[in-house]
Amino acid sequence: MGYRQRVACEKIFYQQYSYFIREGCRRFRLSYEDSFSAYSDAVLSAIHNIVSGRFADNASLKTYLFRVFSNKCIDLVRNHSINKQQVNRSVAPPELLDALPDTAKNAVEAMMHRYNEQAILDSLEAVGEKCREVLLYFEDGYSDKEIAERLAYSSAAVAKTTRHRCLEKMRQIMHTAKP
Amino acid sequence: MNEPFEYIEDYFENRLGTAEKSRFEARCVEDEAFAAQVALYALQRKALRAALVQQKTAAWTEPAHPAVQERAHPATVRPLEPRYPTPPRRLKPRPWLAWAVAASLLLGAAGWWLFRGPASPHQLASAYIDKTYARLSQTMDGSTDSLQQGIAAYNRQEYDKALDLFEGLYKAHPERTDALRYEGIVYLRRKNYDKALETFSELAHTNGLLSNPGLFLQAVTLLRRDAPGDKERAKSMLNMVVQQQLDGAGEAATWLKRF
Repeated sequence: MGYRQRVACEKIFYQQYSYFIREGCRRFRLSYEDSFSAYSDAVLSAIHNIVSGRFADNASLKTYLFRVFSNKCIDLVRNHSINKQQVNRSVAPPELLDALPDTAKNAVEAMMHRYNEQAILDSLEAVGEKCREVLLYFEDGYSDKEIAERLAYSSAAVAKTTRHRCLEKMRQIMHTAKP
Repeated sequence: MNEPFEYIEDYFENRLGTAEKSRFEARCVEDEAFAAQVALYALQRKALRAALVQQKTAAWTEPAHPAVQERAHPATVRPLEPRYPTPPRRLKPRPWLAWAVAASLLLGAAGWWLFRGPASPHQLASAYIDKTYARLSQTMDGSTDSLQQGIAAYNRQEYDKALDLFEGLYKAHPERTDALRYEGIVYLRRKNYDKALETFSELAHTNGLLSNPGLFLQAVTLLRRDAPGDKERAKSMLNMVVQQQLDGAGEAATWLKRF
C-alpha cells in the first residue's frame, strides 16, 4: 500500500469510530480533550498492531479498537490519580518499558528523574525538520528500508545511522539547554 | 555514542538473542549509567509517540480538500468544520424503548407504593396536628363565652385574638384547663414550640383532672419540633402515657412502634 493510500485509509478508520470519544467521556468520566487524545492514541496503536500482524482476527475491528481505546482511557484515569497522589512524580513511565522484567524496569524508572520530560519535547522541536521526519517515520512503524526509500537515503543502514545520530543530537540539545 | 542507542533499540525491537537480552536486563540493574541511557531512550520514544499522535490527529481531522468539499456541499453556505470530530447521530425509531420506559416507571411507582418505609414519628406527629387541630369543634348551644369566641377566632385563623381570649379566660378561671389546652394548641399551630411545651407542661402538672392530655401533647410538640434530643424525650413521654393510660394512649402505642 502506498503512503497516500495508507494515510487515506487511516483517516477513514479514525473517522468511522470517532463516536467512541463520547463513550470515553461517559464511561470513564474523562474530559472531552482527554478522551479525544486517548482515541487518537488508540487508533494509532491499533493501526501499528494491524500493520505488524499483531491483530488477531478473533474479534471485529470495532471490538478490537474499543478494547485498545478502553485500555488507553483506563491508563489515563490511573495516571491522573497517580499524579494526584504523588505530586512530585510528574513523569508517567513510557509504555516501552513494559517490555523489561520488573527489576530492570524499576532500575530504569529510578533513573527517569534525571530527565525533564518537557526538555525532551523541546529537544525534538529543536532537532531540525529532517531529523524529526526520520524519527517520526520510525515511530510510525516504517522500517529503515521504507524510510530510506521515502527520504531518498542511499540505504537502510544510512537511514538507521541517521536516526541514531538524531537521537544523540536531541540528547546534546538537552545537555546544552540544561541550566 | 551511537552504539548504546542501537543496542537499546535492538532490545526493544526484539532483535537480540535470549542470552544477549538477559545480559541487557542485568546491565540495567547493575550499571546505573546504562540504566540512565535506557531511561533517556524510553523518554525520547515517548516524546516521539506524543508528537506522532499529534501529527496524525491533525491529518485525520483536517477538513477535506476544497474541491472535494465543493462536490459534497454545493450550496453557497458550507458548514463549519468542528474542532473535534462529532459522533454520528444514530436516531433510529425505537418504539419498544418507549414501552420499556413506561413499564419501568409503572413498576417503580408500584414498588415505591408497596415497599415505602414507615412514616417517621415526626411525620406521624405532623399528620396528627394537621388532622386533629386544623379546626376545633364548637358547641352548638349558641353560647358566646370566651372559650367559644376563642375557638371561633382559632377556626378563622385569627390566632392572636384566640390566644388573648384563651389566656384571659384561664387567668380569670384557673379551673378552666380546657382554655390552657387551647392556648397550647394555638402556640403549636404558630410553631412557637417553646411556649407550647411550657403550656402543655403546666397542663400535665395540673392535678385532679379526669382527663389530661398534657403529657401526650408535650410529646407531640417535641416530635413536631424534631430538635436534637427531642425524639428521645418524646419517646419516654409516650411510654409514660401508655403505661399510665393517659389521654392519647392509643396513638402513643402506635407511634412507639415506629421508633
